[in-house]
Amino acid sequence: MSGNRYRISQDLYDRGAAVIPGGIYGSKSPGFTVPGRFPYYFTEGEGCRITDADGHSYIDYLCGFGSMILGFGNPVVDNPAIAQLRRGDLLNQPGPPMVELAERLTGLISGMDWAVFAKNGTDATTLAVTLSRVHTGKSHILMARGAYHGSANWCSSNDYPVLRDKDDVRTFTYGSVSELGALFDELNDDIAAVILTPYHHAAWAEQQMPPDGWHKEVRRLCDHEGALFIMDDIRANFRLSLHGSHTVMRAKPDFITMGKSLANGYPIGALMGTGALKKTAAGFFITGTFWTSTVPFVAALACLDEMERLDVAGHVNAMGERLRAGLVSAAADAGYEVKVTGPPAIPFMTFPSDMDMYHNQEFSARMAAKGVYLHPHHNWFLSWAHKAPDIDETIEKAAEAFWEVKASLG
Amino acid sequence: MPNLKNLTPEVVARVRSGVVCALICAVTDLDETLRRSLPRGRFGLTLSGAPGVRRRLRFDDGLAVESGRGGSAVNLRFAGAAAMASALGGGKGTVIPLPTSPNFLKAVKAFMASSERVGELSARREFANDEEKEAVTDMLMTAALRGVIETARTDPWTASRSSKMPDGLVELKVEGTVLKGWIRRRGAVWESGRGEAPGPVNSRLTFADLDTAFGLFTGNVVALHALGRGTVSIRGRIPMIQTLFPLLDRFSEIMKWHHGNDASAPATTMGELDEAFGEEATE
Repeated sequence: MSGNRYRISQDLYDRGAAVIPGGIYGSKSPGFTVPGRFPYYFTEGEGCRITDADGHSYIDYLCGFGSMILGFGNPVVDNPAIAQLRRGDLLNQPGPPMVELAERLTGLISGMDWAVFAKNGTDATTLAVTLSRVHTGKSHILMARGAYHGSANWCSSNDYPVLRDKDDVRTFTYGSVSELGALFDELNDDIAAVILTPYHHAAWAEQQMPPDGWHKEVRRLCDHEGALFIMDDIRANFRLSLHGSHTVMRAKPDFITMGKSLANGYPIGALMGTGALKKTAAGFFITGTFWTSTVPFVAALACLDEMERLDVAGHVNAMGERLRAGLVSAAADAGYEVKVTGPPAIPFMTFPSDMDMYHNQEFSARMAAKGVYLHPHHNWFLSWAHKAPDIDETIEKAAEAFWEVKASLG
Repeated sequence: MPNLKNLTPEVVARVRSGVVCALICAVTDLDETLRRSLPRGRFGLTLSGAPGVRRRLRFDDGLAVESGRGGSAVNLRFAGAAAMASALGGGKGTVIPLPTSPNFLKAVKAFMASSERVGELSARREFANDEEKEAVTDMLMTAALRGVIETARTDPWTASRSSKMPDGLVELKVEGTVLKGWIRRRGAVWESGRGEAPGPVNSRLTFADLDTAFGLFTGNVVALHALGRGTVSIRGRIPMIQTLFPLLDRFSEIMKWHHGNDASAPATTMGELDEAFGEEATE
């Protein structure tokens, strides 16, 4: 048992469970971590460190599920955002920063000619899927099995017979040209879009980089069918390239969705598209009360400037590589082979001899007890705030944790 | 399209008959006094009446096992699915005993006596000692595990979710006791059982102690609190366990069903753990 290290978190959770369905819902629910051995509530964050409700500090590798690319409380983003908040956030009409951000993004993201804004990644992916159907006049959406594109019913695990949102959504094994090709044959002339992440980052599993020629083949199939190619860059965006992950992965999508790190934690999602799709988007009713709030636009502009100035993608990948090498070496010292998959800036570690993840869970729980937040089932993130001493401290603690796991699980 | 949320007597009859058979086997194993009081010898018994439902029990000197083979001394044929569902839930339901061998009275007596004991033990909430409490918890766990797999096999409302459970073996165990149970899925085949899991365990649900397990199975411990505090722990391939919670919830509804009133009441026991997960994939 965990002792009472997380007593305040657990007390809060009891209270929450009385008045909030599930206590904490979705991907933040305790059941997704190691219940009883992880904190459930956090009170503050600074740089790459966060503090839980019980007062424990952690070197954090979840970064607000990827959003905090410059670190928590970064003044370069927060100061102009707070100044804008004082001037006014949600006004009757959008502020000038909305236009400035669309201009900035279209200048930055390769191949994209326009942008619309929302709050969450789900807004952007769902809009992309909907616009694909409207633009092509076709129904079916193809997505990789296990891929996460948001919490909307068309792509989530909300699976009930009365929900028809998935009726025209078909899945295939990521990277399988033959399976994807078979779906194109079967659904000939009724495929609106293929939606893919730049690489496959399903939870509960190793991450998979795209096989050679994968995106080229997807493009070819889409062109032949008259379907659109949506790249869901929400999780990876700006950690692989400031110009879009598709530029690194050699993909030529029609739509790109983004969010998370776009504004270093301020709520904003974006859908970008090619010029050919602009008329369709213009004719479609797109809105949300808070979708034109000015503060997140200001934050995004500051965040983009800082990411460009600092070469953040270069830094987070270098730090990720340092972390990967250190973990592999520390694990080997304890007699474990571990596998760190995904891009260095967005790594995930598994124990190949334990596909059920008992070792992941024990390791993560022990790291949490040592003050390092490494999710047991979800990929990790590096940020600009992670510096070499933070990585080295993490590796030192991991070296202890591997031996403890060894003693506990063998 | 029918309203799939509404329970049909066929689904209820199938689930309840499976659970009743599992519990009779468990109670004759756990309760030596009962076992000794049952008629001696070997004889079988069949429960039927709902379309496609045919359950066979074999008694061997008081010990019951489920058996798909062998003859029956009596066929307890219910007057349709509703009668079977109702009678096996403690309500009224016409049943016609069709004797098929001279042992038929023994078979009826063994079935009635063990069913009565199941009902008595399942309702018990106060115990002379931990051994009694352990036996009742064992039965409650047996019912839950069997209920889950019967629900997965039968219920159209939860079919799309149960179909997503990965193949493998889930173990339930209660620390400080010998209590264990398991569920295994291999494609279309769902199995459950008491005791040691029959192979490597892919995921494990562990109760910290007997009180926690008993409390959770009877709804007297708030499932989310237990999860949050780690007194019920989940390890291994979590999506497998995740799939079980909505099935437990639905099973709880099935057990509450009354003929003519199939309103699905909210579950109050371990099925609540479903709330602790939400989205299976992630941000």
